[in-house]
Amino acid sequence: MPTVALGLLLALGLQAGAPAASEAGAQPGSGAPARVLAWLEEADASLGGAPAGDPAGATGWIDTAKLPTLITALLFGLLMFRYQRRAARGVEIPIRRIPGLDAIDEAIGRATEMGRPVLYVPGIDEIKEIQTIYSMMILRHVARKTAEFGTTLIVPVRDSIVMTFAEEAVKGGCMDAGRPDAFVKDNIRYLSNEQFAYCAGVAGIMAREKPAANLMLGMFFAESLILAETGFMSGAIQVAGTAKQHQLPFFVAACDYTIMGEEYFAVTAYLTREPNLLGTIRAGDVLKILAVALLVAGIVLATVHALSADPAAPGWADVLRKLLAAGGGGGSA
Amino acid sequence: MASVIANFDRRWIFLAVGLLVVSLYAAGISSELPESEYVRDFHATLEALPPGAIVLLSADFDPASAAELLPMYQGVIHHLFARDLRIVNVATWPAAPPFTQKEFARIAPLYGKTYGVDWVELGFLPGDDVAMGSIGQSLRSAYPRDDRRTSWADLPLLADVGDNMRGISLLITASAGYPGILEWIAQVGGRYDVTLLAGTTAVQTPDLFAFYPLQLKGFLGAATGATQYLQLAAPLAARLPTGEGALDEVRDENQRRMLVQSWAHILILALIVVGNVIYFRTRVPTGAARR
Amino acid sequence: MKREIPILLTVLCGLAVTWSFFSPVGVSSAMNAELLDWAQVFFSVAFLLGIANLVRISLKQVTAGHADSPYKLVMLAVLFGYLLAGLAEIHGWLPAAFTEEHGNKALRNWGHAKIFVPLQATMFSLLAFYIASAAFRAFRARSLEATLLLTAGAVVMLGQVPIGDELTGGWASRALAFLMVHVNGAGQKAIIMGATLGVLATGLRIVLGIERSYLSE
Repeated sequence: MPTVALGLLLALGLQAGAPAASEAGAQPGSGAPARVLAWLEEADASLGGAPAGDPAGATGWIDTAKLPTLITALLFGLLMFRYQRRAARGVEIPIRRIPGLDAIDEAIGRATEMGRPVLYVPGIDEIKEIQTIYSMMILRHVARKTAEFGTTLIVPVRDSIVMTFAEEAVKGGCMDAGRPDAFVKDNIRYLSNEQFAYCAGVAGIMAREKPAANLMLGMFFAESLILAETGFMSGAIQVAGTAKQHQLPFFVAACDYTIMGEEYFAVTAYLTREPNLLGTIRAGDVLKILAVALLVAGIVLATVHALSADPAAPGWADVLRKLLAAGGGGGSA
Repeated sequence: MASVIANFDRRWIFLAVGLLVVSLYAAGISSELPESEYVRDFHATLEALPPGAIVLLSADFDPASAAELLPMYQGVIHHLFARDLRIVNVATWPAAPPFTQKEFARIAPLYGKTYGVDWVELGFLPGDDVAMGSIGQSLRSAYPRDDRRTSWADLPLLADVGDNMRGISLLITASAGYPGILEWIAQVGGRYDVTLLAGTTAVQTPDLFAFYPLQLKGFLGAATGATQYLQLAAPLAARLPTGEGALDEVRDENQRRMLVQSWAHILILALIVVGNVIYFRTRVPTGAARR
Repeated sequence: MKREIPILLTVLCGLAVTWSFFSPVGVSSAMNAELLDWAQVFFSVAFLLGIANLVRISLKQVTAGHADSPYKLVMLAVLFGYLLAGLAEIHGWLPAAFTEEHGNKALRNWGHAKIFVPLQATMFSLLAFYIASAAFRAFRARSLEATLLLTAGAVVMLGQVPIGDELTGGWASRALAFLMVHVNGAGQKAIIMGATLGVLATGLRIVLGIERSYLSE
């Protein structure tokens, strides 16, 4: 809901601002906003900014069209480090309990009671994908739980390099539980590099070995519904988690619990309590609040300007747009 | 009745879907669609290019999504050749080149086009978004030779293409996922002076609305968008003899598929309604309702 | 040094690519071009690494008498068969008469068109059946949000197809356009913002050497 509200505000803001901005034939104006805009244009040119219509033509030491991006990245970095240091010093950074997390523990417990295995699908992307990295962290937690309870854990992987990481994660989880003997290398199975061949392989495991719990956490593509529906038909409790928004509807429809979008990153922070991750979550939240504040400011400025005596002249909304718009593709609709 | 849903054999649903699709497709009825604004923009952007302009056409799909994307790819090739636009064809998915080679081999002779002068096939480049960054920065560095092992110097079309996408007026991608249009926008659209158009699968189409019409001047969403575009581009077919490879056949085939899709959607809606009716009739009242 | 060198390389390359994005001066652009070329080499090598791993693991399972051994043997046979066919065609090892009659990509195109395309298209087509099944089983108007979601889904399904306009007097496609451009567009922008922050965070940590999970730490 907050992200949708944020987006709606953005859309409203842009639509409210559009009539007042950058229209062909608009008068330059002489008010304070016009003077600020003119100063910004001069500064841009003196820094060697790209001329209009040639985004690759910048000549200065920095591409001024990308300054907003650089400032945002630096600000985010500063916030992240600040909160990481606070977390490392022991300052509490609260993260709300995510229902999907309880569901993971519940699913493992159910599998233990039924004497059937837990199936963990870490997504189908390579290790360079951030969601796969996070999936390995969650896998370690799941491996610890299954080792503690003595439950079989099966991890089919699509990529041979991910298999190596999965082995490390499961081994680490078993060690964390004090049960190194619980690690079974044969249960980390490299099936195929081909997307649908992997999907067919996992579906086959679900049909034959009938896991009681399916945990699908990572980056998924078109195979998500096939996996989730096959898992449902095999009678397993299913918990899915991905930040790939295309596949969320399929998981929501077919799984018992779905960890959605940013909750997926937060789950890792919640489980590991690593200062790095906690700091990142808090920094992201702060930046989003800042973005909402800017959106509200833009909407108010644009609305006030549209209702003013001379809406064709540049207004403070145009100054804000000039300051925030990154180069290449921005500009008037 | 609560057990109806739990115990219902899903294979009846599979059978219903299968029979519906097969029977309607066999019936061969087709229907026209009204064109959406973003499809019209896609068409208009192509129409606005001057003859001789160079278009970078990227095939970012595989057999799984070819049913949705190949018709729009065929339509675009027809459109570009009919308007005497030149094409540089690349691919960031390894399974795409066999499709594109076949289409160019079939369509180019219909317009009397010459390889190396009117179009060039550079083939698959590994590296996902890194490959796209390379293509944007320097096409020549990314592809020292084309897919037929011909060097750059022996391809007259490429003499007009420079670094930083200079010489390329338009980038069109048929995109099935990653890497695809979102990566093209990030790696190329935001950095260089080139207009972007896209055709995508249904699941990716909602993403594109965030970039339209600023970063993306128009797009074709799924088979629906492809059919709408083929309807707009159909007048081009008047220049061609009817037969294998003609655009009107592709359009007619897609319109036929759209009718099948229509009724499949109606079936799914009906299943949702039936499922909800069963759910509400068997739901145990809670709280105040009980009192 | 086993740890330090990869971290140092990551930091240097990450900072170089980041700098080239923000700075258009010649040296950064040249460095970026060089790094991109190297990255492509690594991607190509990664393919070979993947093949080597695939062969190693499959042979291990075959020699251990794993239950899936026959399928592993078929997979290896197809892998090397296709590789051999491609090499034969590229280097002209096939009889000239065959190449003249069928073209110099006949074997690869046959494998692609007759085996790969049908298999992949078939698996993908399962989605159509599974979505119908999931729709019957799971799409419930349990709450206000679920009802809104169902309504939006119905609007999209009707608006996308010609029969929707016929049934609703032309309103389906108009409602779809409004929903997709204004509601969905706004939501997508917000989602992209949130997702990008997550990617930015992890990217920053990797580039600055803080995140080392890629080293199995």
